Amino acid sequence: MQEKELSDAVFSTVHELQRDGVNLGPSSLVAFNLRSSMMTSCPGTLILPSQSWTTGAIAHEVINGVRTNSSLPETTFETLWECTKEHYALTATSAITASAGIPINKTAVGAWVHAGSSRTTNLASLIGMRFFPRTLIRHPTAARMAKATFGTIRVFGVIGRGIPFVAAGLAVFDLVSIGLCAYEARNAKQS
Amino acid sequence: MQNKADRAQLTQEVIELFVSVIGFIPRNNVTPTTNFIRDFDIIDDDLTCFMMQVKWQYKLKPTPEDWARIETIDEVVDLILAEQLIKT
Repeated sequence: MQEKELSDAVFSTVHELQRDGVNLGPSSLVAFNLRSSMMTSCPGTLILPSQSWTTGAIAHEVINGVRTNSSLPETTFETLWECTKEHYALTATSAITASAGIPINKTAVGAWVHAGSSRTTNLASLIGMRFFPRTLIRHPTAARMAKATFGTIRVFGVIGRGIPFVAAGLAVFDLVSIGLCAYEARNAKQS
Repeated sequence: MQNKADRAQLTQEVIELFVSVIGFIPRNNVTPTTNFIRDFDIIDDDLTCFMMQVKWQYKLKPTPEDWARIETIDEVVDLILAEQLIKT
């Protein structure tokens, strides 16, 4: 196919159609409509004779292609379940971290409870109290940061206080990770 | 006289324990009358850890009421001495 400038291509095509009895109207108008259409984001444009061209009307219609909205793929339960199994086989630490953060009633484990103090602790804190009560953060800067952030410089105190947030963070990571896995699995199936 | 000496020694032990568990309070700032709940900004978990060390180290079996009223080093010492008295 010979390469032409748009206005030349339109001019020659409009006149060729005219010779065959199809009148689209002035070639400059056809070229203008085509250019206008190209400046929009539509994926394709058709110039067609108007519906009344059979009765000798001089006109054309511009048909613009429409982009379909790419909706999120449907993720089936099976896909999600497979991804969940795969994910937790790899990140068992998530489950361990989450269980270490489960609240435990202090009275039930015989721990000290004072009026106004929290009634619960967690497994990480209990392990720290029993086995590592004097394990402190020795580095001065790290200790200052830990005191300012968590109010303690005991290593297990920091872990005990931070673990619910870590568990929450891991839960969000888990959801995103599983979602991405399911999305990729679904896309791979479609393509 | 002997009782006083025992009490003073026990007080020092409890203070040492308190300072070593909490970690960020200088030894000089702690006295027998120190109220560890109000005098310092100590989190609940650290206080629980300290009290649990007292319980395990001195083999105490405090009731919830005993636990609830203790706020000072002196009261901790009283609790230990009271339990020792019961045992003997």
